Amino acid sequence: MEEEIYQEDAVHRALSDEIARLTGKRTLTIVEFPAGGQAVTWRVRRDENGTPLADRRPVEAAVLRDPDALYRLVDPAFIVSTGIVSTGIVSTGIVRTGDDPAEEPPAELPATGQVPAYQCRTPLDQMLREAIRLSPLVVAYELALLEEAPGQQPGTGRLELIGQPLFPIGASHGDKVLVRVHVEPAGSDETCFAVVARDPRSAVPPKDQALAPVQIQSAVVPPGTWELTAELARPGRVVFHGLPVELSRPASPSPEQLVASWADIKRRVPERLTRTEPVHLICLIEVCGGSDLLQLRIDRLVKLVNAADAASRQLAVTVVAYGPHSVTWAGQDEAPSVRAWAAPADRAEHVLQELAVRRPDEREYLRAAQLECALAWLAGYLSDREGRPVIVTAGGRPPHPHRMDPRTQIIPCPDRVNWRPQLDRLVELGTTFGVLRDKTWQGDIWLALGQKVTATVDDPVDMPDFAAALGLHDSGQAVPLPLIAG
Amino acid sequence: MAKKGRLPPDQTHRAEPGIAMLGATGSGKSTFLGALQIAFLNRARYPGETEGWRLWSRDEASRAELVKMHTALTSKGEFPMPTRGIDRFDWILEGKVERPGNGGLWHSQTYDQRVELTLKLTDPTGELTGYEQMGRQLRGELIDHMASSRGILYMFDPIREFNRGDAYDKTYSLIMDLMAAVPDEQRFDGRLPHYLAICVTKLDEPRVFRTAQSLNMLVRNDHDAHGFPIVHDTDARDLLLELCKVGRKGNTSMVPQLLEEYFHPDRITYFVTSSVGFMLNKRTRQFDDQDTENVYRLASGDSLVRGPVNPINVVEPVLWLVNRLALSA
Repeated sequence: MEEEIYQEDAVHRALSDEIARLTGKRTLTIVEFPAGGQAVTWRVRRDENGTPLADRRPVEAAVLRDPDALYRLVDPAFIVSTGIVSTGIVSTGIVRTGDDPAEEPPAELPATGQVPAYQCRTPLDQMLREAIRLSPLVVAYELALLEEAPGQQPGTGRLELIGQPLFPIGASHGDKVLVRVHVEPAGSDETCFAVVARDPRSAVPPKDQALAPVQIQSAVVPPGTWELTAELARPGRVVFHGLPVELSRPASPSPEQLVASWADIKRRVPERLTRTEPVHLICLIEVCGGSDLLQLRIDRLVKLVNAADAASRQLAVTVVAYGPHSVTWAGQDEAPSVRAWAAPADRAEHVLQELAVRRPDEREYLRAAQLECALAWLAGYLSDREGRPVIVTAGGRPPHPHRMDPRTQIIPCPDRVNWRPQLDRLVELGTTFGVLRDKTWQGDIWLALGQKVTATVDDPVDMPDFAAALGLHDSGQAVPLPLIAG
Repeated sequence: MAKKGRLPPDQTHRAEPGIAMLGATGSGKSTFLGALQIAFLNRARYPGETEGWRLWSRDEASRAELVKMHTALTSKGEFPMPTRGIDRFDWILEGKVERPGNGGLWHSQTYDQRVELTLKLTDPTGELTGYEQMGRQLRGELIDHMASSRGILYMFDPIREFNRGDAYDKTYSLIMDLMAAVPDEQRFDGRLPHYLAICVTKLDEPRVFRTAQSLNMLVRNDHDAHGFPIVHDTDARDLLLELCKVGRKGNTSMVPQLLEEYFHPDRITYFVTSSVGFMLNKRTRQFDDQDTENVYRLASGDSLVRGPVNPINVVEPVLWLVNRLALSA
């Protein structure tokens, strides 16, 4: 019995068919007589991007009393009329909803002529929403990206706005597609993820058409290359998965507001990409002084590497560990150890963390560390091949002097290395220096090495600022859209 | 140079009244004793040294201490623990001394006499040299030992003087007590009768070394294959006076005056020493004047020896005292 009375399935099919047939400025009009409420008119149309939109308005009582007036004034393009089954004056386009539609007084229902009528318990807004959600796309969706046009030299090409295909015409709810994008360092500026579309009926070829905004979301996205999954939630709504941050919820702006936002984004696209230069970050880390202090140095350097990696497109990281010279005959003197050379940031972080397991030698020399030899090694091998050198030293002991020093009485370096000429050679190479020094640091070398920026390892360090002071953080150019990933 | 004759009839065993050591805590008294055996062994390797000296002991406790001190330095690079009271070591030093003839067949000639000297070395804790920090009984024991000794090894630590400057005060109070203890003896003639070997210690320490170097007092020890320098005994007093100028309290310069006033000046000799010797460069196996100090300090506060122990001027003050005591016996 109920199957004959309640006709949600039939309504759903009718809605799907009618929405699929909606084109241009056509409007689908439905009148709903809700249980115990005022009759409303639902109007469904597609916007400029083919996204079905629905609105409703109450039907005036005077119109309801005169079925002719209802058909004349509401004037549905495709009539899905209203009606009440039990009255015998039901029209096929009228949907009667509510838990017990049969109980509703039929007095106000107009005669409906040829308009189909359905009887349902589910409110029409729910059925409409579902029908729209499941309706296939009538325009293809693309992701707005920037592409660097080929220039004479790398990094000199103009930035062009392109659309990365996401979903073709006919795609529907639940469809997914993978897309790789590259986000430029943008400091505190947001990167916008804009779904755009082109008019398939336009006489203008798609490649020459302006991209029209469908949905715009944004967030402060860490720079780097990201592999995203775009999921079609419904026409007009694409959800992106795979970013380390959550994008803003898409608002429901007016078409004018959406167009204005899109125009603003396009206006902010720089003509050319100011590429950050390749940077070679060399982390010199003193491994003596106890596990707690060593862990502090490791933590700070890891944060620096992460900050530099987030802020620089081309970062190579070298990790050099050094300890004290062995000053006895019984001990084995070990040279500074290169743990990673021009490695990716994640590799550098890994080798830094590995240093934490070092066991201190009870008989090690306390008053100095072989910083002079670490600098000498770098002065001998470092060049600008891997990028502009930036040396950040984390430690606190003074270097071994190159000769006997009755003032400090520190035992000299067995190789008689003088740190000053080594530092001069590194300066000539264009190296930038910074230090993360212990609270109890000693020696002029820490002043010389910290000429650009200095922080204490056991104090809080604003690492983005620290990185910026070393030129590791390029915040001068805001790129509002992601780039196509190479 | 007196002529040397053949050995006289057997006169081999002589028990000496003993040699006392004086010096503040950390001045290196115990290390000096620990290095003594090594120094004798090293000396035996000198070219032309036909017969060396042997250090040993019949007393079990003294023998154990001798072995312990020697092993700590040579095998572990560790320093002997500082003395807590008064350590007395009955060590036997066996060798030859040159003695003058006594007329007749031996008139105007000298002869080598084989001797076996019992070294009654007294090593008091440095605290005992301070008047106020000690118990009266221990202090009395120390004074008695010194008074009955005939030779004194006085250790002057220039680094301690630079840092603390308490040598004069401690030496003065000891001498006053010693003067009071000795006059009953027949040998007292207004000055203390002891032979006094004043040892300026820690020549390997950079500040002491540089001072000696700046005064052109360093000469190469021709007997030494590693090229270690020494300060000749004739320059030792001048070096002491120079080092006294940087004493912390300004009264350090009075220390040699005090000693020369209360002891017979002709019974005093100065030495510049280093018990552990200079650092020997591990790569070249030679002395390196840019890295002289053979000691470093650990986190625990203990000190360790860096390389081989090659004592500088450790044997010499002892043998000087032994010879003087033998001659005056």
